[in-house]
Amino acid sequence: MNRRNFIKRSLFTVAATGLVPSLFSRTALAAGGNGKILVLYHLFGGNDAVNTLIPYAQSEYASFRPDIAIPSANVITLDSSLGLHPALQPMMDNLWNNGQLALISQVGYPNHNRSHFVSTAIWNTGDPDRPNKTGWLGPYIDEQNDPFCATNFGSTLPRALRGVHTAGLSIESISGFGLGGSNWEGQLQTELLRQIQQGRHGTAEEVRKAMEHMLRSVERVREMGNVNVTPDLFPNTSYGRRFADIARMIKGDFPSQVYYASSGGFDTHSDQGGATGNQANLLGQLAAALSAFRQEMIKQGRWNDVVVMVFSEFGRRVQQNASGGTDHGKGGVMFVTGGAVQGGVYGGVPALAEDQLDDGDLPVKVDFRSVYAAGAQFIGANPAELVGAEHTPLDLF
Amino acid sequence: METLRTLPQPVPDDVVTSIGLEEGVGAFPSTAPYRISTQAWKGALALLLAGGTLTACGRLGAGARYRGPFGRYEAAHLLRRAAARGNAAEADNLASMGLERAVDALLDSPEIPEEHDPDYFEGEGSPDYRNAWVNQWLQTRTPAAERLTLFWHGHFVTEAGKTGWWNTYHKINKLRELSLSSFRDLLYMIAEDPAMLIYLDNNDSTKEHPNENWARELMELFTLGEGHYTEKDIQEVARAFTGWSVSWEDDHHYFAFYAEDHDFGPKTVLGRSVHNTHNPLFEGYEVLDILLENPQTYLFISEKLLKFYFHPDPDPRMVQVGADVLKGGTVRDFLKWLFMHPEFYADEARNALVKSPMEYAVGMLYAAGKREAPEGLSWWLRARLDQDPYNPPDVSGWPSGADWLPDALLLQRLKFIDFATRTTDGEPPPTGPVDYSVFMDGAANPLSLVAPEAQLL
Repeated sequence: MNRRNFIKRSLFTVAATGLVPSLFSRTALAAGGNGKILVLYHLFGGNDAVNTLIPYAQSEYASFRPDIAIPSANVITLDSSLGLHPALQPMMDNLWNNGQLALISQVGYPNHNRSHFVSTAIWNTGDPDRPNKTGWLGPYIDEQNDPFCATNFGSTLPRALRGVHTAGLSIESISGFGLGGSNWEGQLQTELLRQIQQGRHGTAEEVRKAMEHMLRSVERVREMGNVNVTPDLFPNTSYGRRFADIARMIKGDFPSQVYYASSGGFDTHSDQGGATGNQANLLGQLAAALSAFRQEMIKQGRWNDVVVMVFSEFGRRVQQNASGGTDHGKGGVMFVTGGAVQGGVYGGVPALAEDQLDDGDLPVKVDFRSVYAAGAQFIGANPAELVGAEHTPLDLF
Repeated sequence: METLRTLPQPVPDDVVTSIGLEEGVGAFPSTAPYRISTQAWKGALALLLAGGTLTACGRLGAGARYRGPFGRYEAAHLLRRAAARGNAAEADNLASMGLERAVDALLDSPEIPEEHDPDYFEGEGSPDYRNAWVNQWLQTRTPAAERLTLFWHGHFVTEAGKTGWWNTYHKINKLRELSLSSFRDLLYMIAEDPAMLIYLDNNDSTKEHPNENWARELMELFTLGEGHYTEKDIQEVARAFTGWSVSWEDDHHYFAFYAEDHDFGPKTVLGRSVHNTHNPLFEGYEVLDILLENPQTYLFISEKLLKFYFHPDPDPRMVQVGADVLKGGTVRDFLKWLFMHPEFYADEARNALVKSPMEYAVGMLYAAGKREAPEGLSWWLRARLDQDPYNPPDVSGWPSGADWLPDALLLQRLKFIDFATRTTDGEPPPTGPVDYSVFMDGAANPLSLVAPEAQLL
């Protein structure tokens, strides 16, 4: 550690421990819970479900998708009717073959909305009727009353983690959470610590308190920077780095029971590709990172305490378009995995015959809130309170 | 920099100094300079009392008028609130005009930028939609119109992600044109706006399947506020607006009315009959008129404007008077009333509002001498500061106050200082006295930008 970093660290330590130590103890208390962890991963853009969990045996599959259908020979067969995209081989080997991969087929919600933003808001609020409200985990976060109880990796906090009074933490990465290291930013930091020691009135005092709180969060997250996971295990991709950071925070006993992350690129209106290509690359990166995460969790002895839910805001149309891609559709597919998860396909085999489709889309057979309800139950939250009693938890465990 | 018609050319840099902080004194000396003299304030009140005007329309009333000192300190507050952008020279110029002329100058008719076609924003090297707005705000001679446009856009929300970028851009341009006009003009415009018709699904509302999205938000968010209508009213309003949709011609959406989709039956809205079989299109306008005649509409808008321009928790009597001003006049009348109001210059009102990221970014860039959005600003706004000006988080608009300051956002705001203040050749800013006096109270040098006051308006 060079001198600059040492000074910076000690300043943050002063800020964190010298000013309001009482908040630390409250955080430690709130960290209790049942020790289980829910990881939510959003594939933004609308992942094409038909080429992910593939009804390869139906003749319509190839005829609807002349340019992008995955040849039967390349499909990883699960049974006589369904198979996985070949890029998901690591998930097959590590998760499915251990009976720990649940595939939720034809998942979504009624009265579908094809806007990325509206649909994402619906997934994040758990309310298709009125997406402009707080997150589906909001009541849980409000109850914990602790911004550390849920952590998002990304630049902006998803609505899922916004409560009425409290919102989860949002960080781009463990190492990126803090002011920069330049000399100028060092001076800014010093001045900040000086400024916040002087009380203010009214709104200025609110801002000063918010700054104090932020500095404590920075310190708390930076402690995780000293936690190491198995070297060279996680792939050096955005998925790999996200899952590695989550694994470090779990190992470092960070008080979050919920982690959220997202990756984009799934809006494949053109050049979607088939066995290889754009979607294949993304799915491959996800599968590799998820497999590494499982191995790390087993090493930490925490795999049974973790459930990962991977979702996308909608599936895509069954027929390809003229640009070698697919347009926005309805029913999608979710991956749910963890040591306690009962693997298998939930939600049935999609029927591709025209009269079985919902206006050219996979219909919705499983409401996503029943999957969320299972996740809520897993972490000891009350599913009825979070997604409504009418959505009984899917029997995933 | 761009010349300002209503505001003066700034004085040369060497004349610009910090706002009167003495050498060696911290950014927050125990006695701040240019503080309102309590004596003068009491004196003004005494004058009012002596004149016998402290009545219902006295101290808080429509005729209430600030008579205290109006120097750089007060003018900086006025300029910060009105425009979220400025410097000491501009504040001095306003001060030299005297209060009323200063307010008139700030509320001059908005400078209207040229409206570009969609391909302009896709061309190589041309600014994207977000940067174009920031540039307009940095360069215009009527910056107060930009802050007001942000208010109206956060009120009559559309999201470019759903409407298409150009439609929301066009809506923002129209809001700017009408920003100081009457609330009636604004509401009539927005009801026919293609971006709004698409955003709230009215283009998908037919007599067989009336869509209630627009009807609900029209009353809940745009006019009356929650609790002043029934679910039945929403259904009736939705029926009245069936057929209000969009057409697509010459690469643009236009407002179009499709009589074949319209529900011709009689409707009752807030106890009033709405039925026009001769010209069914007019049923929509009749609904708007019912809402525009309702005093609750003006109370709702007055309170929202006061929360944006005055104080997070405005006195109900101020809200009432503001509603009266707004109902009988224009938004310009409302803002002129507020900006000349004694309460506007009270200590409790100063630094009482939290800057939104747009205001924070524009204000800091301007104070740092930038007159054009630096490369990467659009990404900063969208991804780090959490205010994509083209995509409000939802139909209820942006948050306010401390809701803007969760840890990660506050951290990004502090990181933004480095981005905004670096010189064009990438060097850190000089540490000497600089002119951040309108951006924030108590700035001694660029390091002061970490102070809580930098987050405030």
